[in-house]
Amino acid sequence: MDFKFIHAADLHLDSPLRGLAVYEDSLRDKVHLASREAFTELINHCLEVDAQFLVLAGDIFDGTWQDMSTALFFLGEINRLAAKNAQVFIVNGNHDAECPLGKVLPYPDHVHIFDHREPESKILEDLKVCIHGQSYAQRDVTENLAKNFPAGKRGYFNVGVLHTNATGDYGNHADYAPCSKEDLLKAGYEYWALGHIHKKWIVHEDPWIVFPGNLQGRHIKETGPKGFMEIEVLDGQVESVNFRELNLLSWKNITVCLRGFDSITSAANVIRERLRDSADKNIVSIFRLNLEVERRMHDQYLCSPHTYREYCRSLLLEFGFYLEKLKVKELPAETGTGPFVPGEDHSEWRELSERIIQDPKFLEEAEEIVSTMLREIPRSGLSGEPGSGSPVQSIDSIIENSRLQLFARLSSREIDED
Amino acid sequence: MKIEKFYLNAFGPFTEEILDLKHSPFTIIYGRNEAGKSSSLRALISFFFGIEERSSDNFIHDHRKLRIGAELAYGDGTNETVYRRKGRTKTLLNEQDSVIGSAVFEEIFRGLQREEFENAWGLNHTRLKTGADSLLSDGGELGSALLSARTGKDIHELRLKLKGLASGIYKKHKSSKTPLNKAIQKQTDLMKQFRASINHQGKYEKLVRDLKKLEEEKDAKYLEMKRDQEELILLNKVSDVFADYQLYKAMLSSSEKYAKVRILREDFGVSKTRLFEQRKGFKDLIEQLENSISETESAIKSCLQDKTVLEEQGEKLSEFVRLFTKISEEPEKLEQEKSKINSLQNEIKDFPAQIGLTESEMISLAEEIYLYGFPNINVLIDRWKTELLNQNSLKTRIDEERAEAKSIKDRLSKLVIPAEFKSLALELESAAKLAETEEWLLKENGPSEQERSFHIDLSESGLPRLTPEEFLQLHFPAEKVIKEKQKELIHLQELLRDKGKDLNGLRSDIENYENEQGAEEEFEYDIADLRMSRKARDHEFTRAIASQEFSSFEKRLEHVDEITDYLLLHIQAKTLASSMAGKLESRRARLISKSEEITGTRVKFNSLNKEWEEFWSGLEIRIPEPKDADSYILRIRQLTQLAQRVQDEQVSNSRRLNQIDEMTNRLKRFLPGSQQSYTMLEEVVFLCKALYDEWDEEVNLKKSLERDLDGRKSKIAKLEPQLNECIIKVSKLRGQLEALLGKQICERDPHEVLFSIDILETFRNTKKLLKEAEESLGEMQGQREKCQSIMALLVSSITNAPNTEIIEVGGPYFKNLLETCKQSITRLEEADKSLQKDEGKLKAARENNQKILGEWETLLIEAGVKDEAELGRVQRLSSEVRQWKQSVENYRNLLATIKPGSAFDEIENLFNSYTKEKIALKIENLNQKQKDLGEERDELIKGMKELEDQKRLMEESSNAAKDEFLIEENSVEMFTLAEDYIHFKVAELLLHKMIESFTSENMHPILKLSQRYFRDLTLGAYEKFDLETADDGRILLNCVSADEKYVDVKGLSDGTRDQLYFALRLGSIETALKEQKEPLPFLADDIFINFDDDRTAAGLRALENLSKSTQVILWTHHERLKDLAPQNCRIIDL
Repeated sequence: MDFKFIHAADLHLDSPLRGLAVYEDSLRDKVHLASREAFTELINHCLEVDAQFLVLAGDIFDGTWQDMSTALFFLGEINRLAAKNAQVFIVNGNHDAECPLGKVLPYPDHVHIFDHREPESKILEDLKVCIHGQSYAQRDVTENLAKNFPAGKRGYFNVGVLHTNATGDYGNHADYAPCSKEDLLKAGYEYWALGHIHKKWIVHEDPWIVFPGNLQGRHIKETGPKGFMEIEVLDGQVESVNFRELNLLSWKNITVCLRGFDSITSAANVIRERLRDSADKNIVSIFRLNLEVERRMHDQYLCSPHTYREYCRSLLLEFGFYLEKLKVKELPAETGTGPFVPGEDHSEWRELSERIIQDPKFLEEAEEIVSTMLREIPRSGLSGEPGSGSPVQSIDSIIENSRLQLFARLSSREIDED
Repeated sequence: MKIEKFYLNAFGPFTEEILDLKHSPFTIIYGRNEAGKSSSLRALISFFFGIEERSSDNFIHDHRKLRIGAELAYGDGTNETVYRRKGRTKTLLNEQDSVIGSAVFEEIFRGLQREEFENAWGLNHTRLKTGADSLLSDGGELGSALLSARTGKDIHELRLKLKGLASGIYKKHKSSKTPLNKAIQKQTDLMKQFRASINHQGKYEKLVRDLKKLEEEKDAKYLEMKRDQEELILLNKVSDVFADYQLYKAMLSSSEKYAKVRILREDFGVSKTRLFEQRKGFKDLIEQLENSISETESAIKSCLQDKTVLEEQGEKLSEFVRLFTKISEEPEKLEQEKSKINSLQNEIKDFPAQIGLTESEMISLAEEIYLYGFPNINVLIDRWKTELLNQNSLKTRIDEERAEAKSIKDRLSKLVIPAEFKSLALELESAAKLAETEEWLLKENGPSEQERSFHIDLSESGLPRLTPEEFLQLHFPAEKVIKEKQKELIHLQELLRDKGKDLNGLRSDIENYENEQGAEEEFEYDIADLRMSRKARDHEFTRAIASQEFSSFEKRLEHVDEITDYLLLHIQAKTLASSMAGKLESRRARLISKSEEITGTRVKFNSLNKEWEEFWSGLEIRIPEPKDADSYILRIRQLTQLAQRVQDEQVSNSRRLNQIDEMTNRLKRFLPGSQQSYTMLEEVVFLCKALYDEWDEEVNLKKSLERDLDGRKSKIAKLEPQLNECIIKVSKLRGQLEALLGKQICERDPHEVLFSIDILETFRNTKKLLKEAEESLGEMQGQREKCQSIMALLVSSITNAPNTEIIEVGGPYFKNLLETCKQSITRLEEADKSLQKDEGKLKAARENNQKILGEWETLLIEAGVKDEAELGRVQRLSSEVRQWKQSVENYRNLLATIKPGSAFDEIENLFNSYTKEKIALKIENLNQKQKDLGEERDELIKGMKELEDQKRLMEESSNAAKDEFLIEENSVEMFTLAEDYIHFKVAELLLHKMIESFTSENMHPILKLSQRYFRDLTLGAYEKFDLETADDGRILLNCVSADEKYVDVKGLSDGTRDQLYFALRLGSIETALKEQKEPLPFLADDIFINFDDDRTAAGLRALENLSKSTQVILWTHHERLKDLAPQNCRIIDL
């Protein structure tokens, strides 16, 4: 039997896209709706290629609360497949297990959620396909679920669906439902549709063990192409496995070394060049710009961070890009080449300040400043709730940054403009 | 480190400048505005820290060429020369232009940046003022003052700045509108909103559960109602047919009674009736047929008897009747034929006259044509017609060509062909050549003297002043010829006019003839006669003569026209010549005026020349005395100027003379006699040439017209043979036709010929018809006779009556007899047919009757009876049983409808289980229950709708994801601001600690040194410093005057405060130098602007003092400093 099916994972619908700075309204909406648009595109593709079934390998929803608008959107999209009689097979991932949405949703007949107690097998007799899957019962699933999957059904095309960190050697995702490649191969399935790691990774070919990655990057750590897998089966064998990229919104993290430049304006063309090289055409691109600069420019930045940010933002806008965050890092001194006198800063001020910051009393006072501030900031008591994380740096880092701020102003010719 | 020499190779306004700083540790660089003072200071800093990326010091030297250098002496006694070029990397070079590392600078500056160096090791007026102001603003706080003095930065200002930055982000007061306060407030609100959103969760789940429960209850009610409804329907049905069921049961009791009855088939009765009636019908039919057959047989017999008699008479009668009928019609037909013959004869009576033949000729010609065949004649006539048309067209074309030729001739006659003009022009040319010879002869004889003063000669030369007429008479010999020709022409014209009169007569004759010819063409078919006639021949002859005369006349007329035009041209030439004479006059006047001008110039020149010669000769004669030297020299000068003027005049005159010569040469051609006429002739020759061209054109046109005329003629010549050929063809065809149709016919118009042929054809046909009619008439008359003879014979065979009577009386008799005979035969035939038919019917009836009798027997057996009497009884009984069975079946069917699909036993049981009363009671109960259940169901639906509405509302208001997004977004901003706030706060804390630490470590040495500087700078007005601890714990600096007065910073005058800051700076620098491995130079830029001379001198001494510790360089544009400078100080002027 010849047919096509689609494998996607980690939709994280309406995920809050953590770590975003304040954007213009238009971009904010784009970013906010990106995960939904990506899912709509996925369904469009299923209909276009006449996929016989869709496999979602976990983490459809995100968060521990219930937002019915998210659920209604999901149902609305998935119901479009009913018209073409395409089936949907879903395993709940760690996020879904946490989220109550999935439990109250009235799923239509063409959607099947795999049981969380043991592996379940569903047969599509007309296609001669057998799909095996197991959902997560709760967030932290640490046992090897793959081992319990039944052996592949003879005369059928077997698909395994699992949300797993697999071998655990990819990325820094929680090590849920760990298993080895051999565990998966042992089942004798033609295709393992996995999810969880947010990165496209073909673990094995023929039989296929595939992570499609997530549908849409949600923050600066999720860069690179995002999308899903389209699998073509001819005569009961995998003919092709193609990654279909969804070009909706991309995150770019680029570093530009500006050694030898004494101002941001003089370095503009270098930055432009780098942006030109690393941009995707016709895609909403959000950049994190890491500038590596020499001390003089770093001081300028510390004194006028707003000016630097706005300047970089305007450079990005020349190409229609957006700025996620500007990070400016001071380059270590490079002996004997620069136009300015290089060398480590051994000035009496540095020595004096180093002595002071070693003083426990100073440290205590500095910590008091930090803790006083943090007390003022409203925080959530629940770990899953938004605003529960604290992005404030360590005290050492704070002191070092403060010292740089001070020295930048001490050594500057003009007083800063902030 | 000391800078011994500073090289300004290429920087700002400098090119290869060297500042020699070697000789003293304290150098003043003096330069007025725009001398490059600031540039040299900037160059020195750029030497240490690199030339800035966007340096503006490239206005002379390109950025790539900027270069500075210095010869440096280090503390260890070593020297080094280092150059700096502009660039991003590898900008330090040695003397060999090789890139060197910056290790030495790293060691010296220890990470110090350009701005830091400028602040800490440099001082200008602005920094001095800012430093002094900071002392005031900080109230003399010692720590800030010392640190400010050391760093060169306003520490107090910096502290305020850091505080401001922090409070600009966040203030403890909750209602503050700072960004962080706002972000915190926003976060709190968003968190509340989010929690409200997610609190929906429990409510929603309960709602879903309640909804589901209600739905289940509703479904259960539905199910129960449905069940009851079904029972109710059944019971109603049972109730409706309960009486029928009782009847059904009663009917079943008769079943034994009817068990043995034979049930006949349903249509048994019908079959019986049918057979009964058929049996009777056949019996009657057979009887009827048998009677009919016997009647017919007797009739046939009677008819056969008459037949024999009648057959004999009948044949005769038939013949008679046929003839009689024919004869009875005859008179009319005979009349018709006769009138037809008459009409035909009348019709063709005039034909011979119409075509001019006798009747016999016509008959024979018509027969001939008939033999020859009409189509062939028509073909011949068509060809004849075509040829005639062709002939006419050729004639028309020839006439057109002739008309065209005539028009060309007319045009030719109007053409101007100055045939004699060419020879005339040649004559003119030869005359011109003659004149030219004359002119040269004249030139050879003319004296050169005359040329020099020709203006006199010109006025006296007696140039012939001729009128144009005179000129033409003298110099235009052709005029005579023209006049002669004119006369000749007039004569010719007169002659021709007379002749023309004659020719006009001829022309009118020709026109008449041509008119006649036109008329002829209209009567083309008479042309043969006309052509043959004598008159025509006369006309032809006359026309030829007239044409000849006419063409001769035309030629003569052409000649007259030519000569007339020739004369007109000469008149034009004359007018031109006269205009030329006028021009000649005006040129002569211009020449006279020019010669007068030249004469004036010549007089002037002569006078100058004379003057020159006089002086020149004077010089040669007189030897001047020394006393006259001045005047002599003056004279010589004048002379030289004069000589120059003379020379200029000579040049000018020479140019003018050349012009005169040229003019003279040109005027030669206008000199007397033949020269003048020669010029005229030249003009005339030019005119002639133009006329030649015209002449050529006319000749060409004439030729082309002649060619055209020839073409026309040749066309006519070509067409005429064709015409002749055509005429021959026409004649030939006519001959052929004549041979066929006769001369008289063929001499007519082809249409008439055709008409004649039509008549001939009609004639012939009519004749033929006539013949046929006559034959028909003859035949009819023959028949009549024959009929009369048969009649006679017939009548005589029957009666003895005379013929006439037989015809009158016998006719009707025989007619009746014949009719009777015919009727008899017909009757006989009909009787025979009827007999045959009746016999057939009888046979069939007998067979059918037999078949019916058989069926009747079968019917009796089927009923189980032996005779007809029993049959009725059995039949009635069978019908009764049948009706009973049908009723039973009907009842069963009716009962079965109450529960379709169920077995009848079940239905019977159902009926047996109820009584009528019981059913009614149960129906009532069930109806009540249905009503109750319906109400309960409606209640449930209402409840569900309410819950659905609640659920939808909750779904629509669910926006937790959006809230979370906003919280995350706000978090980032909030934490970023919080970090910034913390950074500024900690930086401020650090600065505070640094001030404290620096003060405690450096206070005493700096204050000690600064105190000394301050005393010197204030010229001893203040002796020392005093420290005071304020209430808030801060240490404040006070100054103690020479008279022991304690003055705080606020109490100092502006100038003293400047000096206090200067002293603190010098003290801190000197302190720092002690720890500096390689001392850095102190760079001061016009710091004494507000100092008076005494204090300036003190300041310079202080710098000199500092120069003991490190190199000091002071830039200034105040010249007084040069005077005030200490002796050891080296001054460099830029």
